[in-house]
Amino acid sequence: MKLTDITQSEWTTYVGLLTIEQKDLIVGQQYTTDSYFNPIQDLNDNWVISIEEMNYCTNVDYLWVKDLDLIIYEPKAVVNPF
Amino acid sequence: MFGFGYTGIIASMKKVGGASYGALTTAWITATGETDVTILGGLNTFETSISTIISKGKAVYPYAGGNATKHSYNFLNTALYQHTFFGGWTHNSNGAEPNGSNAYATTGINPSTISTLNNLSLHYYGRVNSASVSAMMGSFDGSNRCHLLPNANTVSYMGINESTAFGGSAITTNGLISSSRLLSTTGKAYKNGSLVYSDGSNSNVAPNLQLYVGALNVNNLPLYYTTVGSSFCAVFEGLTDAENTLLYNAIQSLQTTLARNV
Repeated sequence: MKLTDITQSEWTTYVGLLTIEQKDLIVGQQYTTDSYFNPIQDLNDNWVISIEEMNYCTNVDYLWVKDLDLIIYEPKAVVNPF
Repeated sequence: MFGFGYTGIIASMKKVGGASYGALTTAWITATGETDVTILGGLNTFETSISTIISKGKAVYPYAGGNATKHSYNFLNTALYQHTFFGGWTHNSNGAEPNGSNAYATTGINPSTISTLNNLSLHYYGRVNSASVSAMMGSFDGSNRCHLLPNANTVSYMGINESTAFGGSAITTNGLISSSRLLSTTGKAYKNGSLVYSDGSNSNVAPNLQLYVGALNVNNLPLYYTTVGSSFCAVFEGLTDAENTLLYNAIQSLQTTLARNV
C-alpha cells in the first residue's frame, strides 16, 4: 500500500516503513521548511515515519519518502509513569 | 525580560501598512513577514489586553499564520525560545496539530532556569477533547515534573516543579488548559480561565529539561504524544486566579477574531 492509496482520515492508522539506511539518511533533515523528520520504532521495532512527514515533504532530496510502503501503525506500549 | 517596560513598548509603536501596531506586533511582522490584517489586528489587541501581565510572560506561541515557520516564533520575543518542529505536524489556519505518534516541538525553555521554583504557569489552548495519557506540554526527569496532562482518561496530572503530580478529575482538553504555581504548598489547574481545582502538593525541584510541546520531554526523549491540536500555547510566571482569567479572555478574543474559538 502507498500514500496515494489512503484518505486523510486514515493518516493516523498508517505509517511509512523505512530501512535502517533510509532512517539514517533522514534523521536531522527537514522534510519541509522548519519541520524535521522524526523516525520512530513501532511495536515490532520497524523504523517508521508518519504520513504527515511523507505527504508534506517538499525537500527535493527526500521526495522518495512519498513512495514508501505503508504499514499499520502499532505503537510501542508506554508505561504510565504517574 | 525585554529590557524595557510596557511604557517603552507603547512608545515604540509603529505604523505599518496604514495601521499602527504595538512593539510586539511590529516585531512579529518583521520576523514572520505576516501581512494578514485580521491576524495582525488580533495580535495587536492581544498585546494590549495582556499589558498588565506582560512582564510575567516568558513565551507565547499564537500559532497564527498557517505554516511551521510562522508557528515557531515566540510573540513576546521573536529572538528567544523559537520552536523546532519534529515529526508529523499539520499547520493550518487553526494552528498547529500534532499527530499523536511522533510529533513534538522543542522550546528551549528550561523550568529550572526560566523562573523561580514557585512561580511558573503553563497554558495550552486545545482544539478538541481527547482522553488519553498524553501531554500537551512539559518535561519530566523521572523524579520531578512540569507538565499539562489534563485528561488522562479519568484523572488529570498537572505538575509544576514537583515530584508528585497534583491531580484531580479529568479536564476536557478543548479550550485553554492552564496550570499555575505561586506557593510551595499549592498547585492550581484551570480551564478557560476558571479554577478547576487547587491541590496541596508541595514543590520540590524544577526539572532541568526543556519543555516540549505536543509531547512530554522525559530525559530528552519525547513520550506521551498528544493528538490535541493547539491554537495557542504559552509559558508565564505563576499567575493568580484573576490573571488566569485575564489571560483567557485575551486569548479567547484572539481566537474569536481569527474565527477559530472553541
